[in-house]
Amino acid sequence: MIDKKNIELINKDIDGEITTIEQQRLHSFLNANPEAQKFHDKLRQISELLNKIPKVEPSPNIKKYVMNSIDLTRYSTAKKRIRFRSIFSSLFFKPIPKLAYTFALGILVGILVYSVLLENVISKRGMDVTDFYGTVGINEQAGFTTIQNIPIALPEIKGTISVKRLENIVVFETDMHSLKEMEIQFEYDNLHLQFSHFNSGSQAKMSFDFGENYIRTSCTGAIQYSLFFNELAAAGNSVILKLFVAGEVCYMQSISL
Amino acid sequence: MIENTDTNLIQECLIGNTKAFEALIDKYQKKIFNIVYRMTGNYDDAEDITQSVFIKVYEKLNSFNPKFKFFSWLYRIALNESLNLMNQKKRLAELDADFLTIEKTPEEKYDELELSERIQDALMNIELNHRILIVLKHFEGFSYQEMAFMLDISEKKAKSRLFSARQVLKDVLITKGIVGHD
Repeated sequence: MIDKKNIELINKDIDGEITTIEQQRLHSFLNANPEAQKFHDKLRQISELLNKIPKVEPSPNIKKYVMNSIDLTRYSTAKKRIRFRSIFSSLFFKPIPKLAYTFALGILVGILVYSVLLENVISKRGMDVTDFYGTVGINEQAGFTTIQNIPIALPEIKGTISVKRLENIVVFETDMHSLKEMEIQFEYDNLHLQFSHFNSGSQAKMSFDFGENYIRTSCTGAIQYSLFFNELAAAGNSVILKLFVAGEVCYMQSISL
Repeated sequence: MIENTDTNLIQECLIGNTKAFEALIDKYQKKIFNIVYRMTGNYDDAEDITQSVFIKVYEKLNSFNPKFKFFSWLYRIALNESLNLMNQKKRLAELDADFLTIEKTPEEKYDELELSERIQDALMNIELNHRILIVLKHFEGFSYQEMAFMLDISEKKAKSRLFSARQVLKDVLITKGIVGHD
């Protein structure tokens, strides 16, 4: 009768997992027990016999049969999903795009914050005058005051030129009608006044000409526009308004600002 | 160069590359066939089971857990398929009263058989639980840990079951004259 412990040692030896110390212990046991030695030899013989058994060759048609039996498109939809996922991940989760998107997001947030702050500052200071509100003239609520209204009532030209001011901004709002070609010229000292910008309020065809110290528009029919100037010197500034019809001056006025 | 490991091949299969699955079949079909053949003792059954194992593996490939070894999973499926078929056959055999009459006497049979087939015959005479372990250990050289995973038993149990299996097989082989008496 072989005890459990030695059965385990014999099997360990058969499996080739026996340690040197266990091997010595097993040898002494087997030498003292001929029955166990026979059992051990038989198991070893069987193990060697089993290891000698050659592999059986399967039919070469197995692969063909399997490939004909499976749904080859089963994972092709997954392929598209995974490709989309990999493109998506390469667009959003890889380090460089991530950095770029973070940078872009930062800029966007910056612009938003800046525009909100700017709007607050402008509305507090009442400085918005034109473009932000989409008007052709000035924003009445912005705090402009009218310095002078100049009515024009000539045989060929009729209308009004209003002069308005907010702090150092001076605006000439022009609303004129002419049957013939007219030219409206503003002459100014460019050391005291600096032309800022122009807003047109009519669809009439108009030409625009300016030099160092004048701005001239010419058109026929109805015309509306605003000219914006920044005052560089504090006081005593003036602008000379000239109206021309057929190349001849038909109106002239000095406007004190 | 990307190594064609099982994991790579599985990933390729899962994105629709059927060539990768062919590569897995090439790699494992002989091993699976042999294991199933040793379990069932029938060439045609082994072929049918091998085919159905690969079909099943393909269908379940997306549920394979990559933390396990692919071949262990594959062998587990193969063993289950073999057991299912053998249980079916056993039930049919019980229904067929004439089933045993076609059996030849051991003497007649051993004259015809080669050693490999005689051992196969001896294997078919031992319990299924023992046969599985003999096949996994001696024909495929799996470790106790791998066998334990495939059979869903503890490593200790796999070990003790194999020890018993060896003794049973020894007795059968002696009875059948494949291994000499003392």
